[in-house]
Amino acid sequence: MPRSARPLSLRATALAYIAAFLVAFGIAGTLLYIAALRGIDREIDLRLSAETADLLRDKPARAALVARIDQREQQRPIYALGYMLLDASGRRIAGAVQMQNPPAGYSNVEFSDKLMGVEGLDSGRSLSTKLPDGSALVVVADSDPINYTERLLLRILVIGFVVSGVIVATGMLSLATTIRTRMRAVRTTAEAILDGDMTRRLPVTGRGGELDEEARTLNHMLDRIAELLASLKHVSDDVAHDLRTPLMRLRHRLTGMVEYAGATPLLPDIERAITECDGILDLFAAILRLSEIESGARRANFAPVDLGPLVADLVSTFVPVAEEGGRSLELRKLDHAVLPGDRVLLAQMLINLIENAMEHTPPGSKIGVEVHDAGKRLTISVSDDGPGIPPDARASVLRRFTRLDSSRTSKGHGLGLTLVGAIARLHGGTLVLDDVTADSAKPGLRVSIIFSRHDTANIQPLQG
Amino acid sequence: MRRGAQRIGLGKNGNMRLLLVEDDVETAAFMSRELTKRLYDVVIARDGRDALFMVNDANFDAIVLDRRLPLIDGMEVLKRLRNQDISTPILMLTALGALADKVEGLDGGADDYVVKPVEIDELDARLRALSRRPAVVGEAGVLRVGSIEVNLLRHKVKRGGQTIDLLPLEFSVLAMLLRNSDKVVTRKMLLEEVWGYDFEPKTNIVDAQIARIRTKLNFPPHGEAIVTVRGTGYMISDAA
Repeated sequence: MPRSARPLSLRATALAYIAAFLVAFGIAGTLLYIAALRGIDREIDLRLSAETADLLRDKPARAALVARIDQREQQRPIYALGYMLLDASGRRIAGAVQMQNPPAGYSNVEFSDKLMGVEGLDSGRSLSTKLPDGSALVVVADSDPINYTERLLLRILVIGFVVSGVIVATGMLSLATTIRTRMRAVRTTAEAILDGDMTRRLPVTGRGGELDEEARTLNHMLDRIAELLASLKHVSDDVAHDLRTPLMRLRHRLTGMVEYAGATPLLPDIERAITECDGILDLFAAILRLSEIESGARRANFAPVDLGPLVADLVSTFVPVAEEGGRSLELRKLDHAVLPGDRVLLAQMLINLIENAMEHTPPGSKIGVEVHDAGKRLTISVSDDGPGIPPDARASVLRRFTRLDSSRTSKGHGLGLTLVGAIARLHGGTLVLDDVTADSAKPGLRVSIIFSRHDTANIQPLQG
Repeated sequence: MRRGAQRIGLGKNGNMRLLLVEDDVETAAFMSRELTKRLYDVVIARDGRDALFMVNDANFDAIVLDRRLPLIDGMEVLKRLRNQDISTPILMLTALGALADKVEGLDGGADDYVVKPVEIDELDARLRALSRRPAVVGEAGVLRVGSIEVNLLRHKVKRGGQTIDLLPLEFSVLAMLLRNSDKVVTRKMLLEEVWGYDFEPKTNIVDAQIARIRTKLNFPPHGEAIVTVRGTGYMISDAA
């Protein structure tokens, strides 16, 4: 899967939202700032044109205009408006503002010291109006108030940006943390339950809300599952008890008959009936064990199992047994690996595989055991050079009670490989059957249990 | 069975007094009959309440306790007995064979936990293993029977002074036989104790292991070190 297609983590999503919010806020703030400044500029321009219009009201003669300017300068210096009247040759004839070559129309002006004519006037905006007689009237407004407003606006925007940024970031991160904490609680609980602790439940804070509601629903579901499991356990306990007891009574009675029947012709029949009884009892034991394994209850028992000594011990135990039957058994490869699991069940799995190989091969066969650690996956396999299993029959041998001998006269209850499969699944492994060689007359059979390492650090290589 | 039958009438003084708590009348009768042949004095209790009364009335050498009982459940009987500080060895004999059931039984104070069905000889061996004091381990962890010497601390085995190399599993099997030197050790007991298995493989791996120990342990002038008790298990030979 390409990396970019991976869904973002909660924290990354929160950070992305925070970044998006801040960018949006920044853009909106900048637009607001620009619009506000333009508004103020327009306001000032209106004031300048109103003042100019007022000065030129009734088209005064030059002397009258000079008088008006003088009057205003004396009356309202605090308005911070400055005036200048230039004659056609550009000479200043009225007003305190000193400016050379004022630009026509509206413009921003900076006053250097020598141009300063009005107290408090250092920079501003000017409106220069050409009069019909060639003179020019310049009205200047101080831009200090604009600067002040601009600074104020900027400060408000920055403070707003920082404050809401902090609020949003805190909110998003704490939401992400809350969700993550809750999800972690769900995961921990689920893992504990998978490990066999059916009593675990999700924490409910009691503060209400969706998360509590969800936790309650999930807990309710877990209660229900626990009930079902308990009743299943009850059923298998009943089967174990109520079916075994009469069978045992039957067996006791038959045993008693053997004792008192002596050497009657019935004796072989009675003994066969006892064997039959034992077969049924064994079958019950196998079914109960299978359901114990499939219930996952034995996960509570999991501990790191070092496969090295386990496999080596079993092979050395079975070598004399195999030799007695005229077969050879050897350990072909033994990579050391540690698997979290149930030591006894893993031993039973391997014993079943070795016994299976011994049972279904003719004397003289070679049986090999391998533990192969290929980094990504760990394989335990038992192979033989016997007649093998045709590919189309492989699926069926993994099913319960299947024996390839269709007359069902061979001994055993047909649960051997089913049990192996169940133990493999309990440990997160899969059971695979394949040919050992391409020779169709004598393909052999390799039964492998494959444990993948991709999901978690399920299997660690042996340290040291 | 014949072996036990011949011993009837040896006198009750040396017999083990056994309380058998079993609600199924026929099973109880059968077990009682078979155990009596093997020199037990058997008293039967049919439910948990009777069992508790009887334990308080008489002294028993051992108790065989079924788990599913009328009136008071077997686990509850076990708990009450242990709470009353009654330390009589208790063997739980039950149809419930899951590991969790077994752990619960042993944690509850049972000395042994056997899943039904069980051969009477197996039960006999286990009861005798429970009721007698464990073998006294000599100085520096050395067990001795006849010419055989097992050093538990150093994992060393000698016969007639000669050192014998045993593999770890072989050593554990021999050590268990020596620890129970006057008793039969069954294959199931060895599987549970030495291998730690709660299942019986089809193959008799115990016999294979014993055969290997014998080839190492039996050499002239010494006789057979391990006696096979037919159909049941093994015993270390007194004459070894």
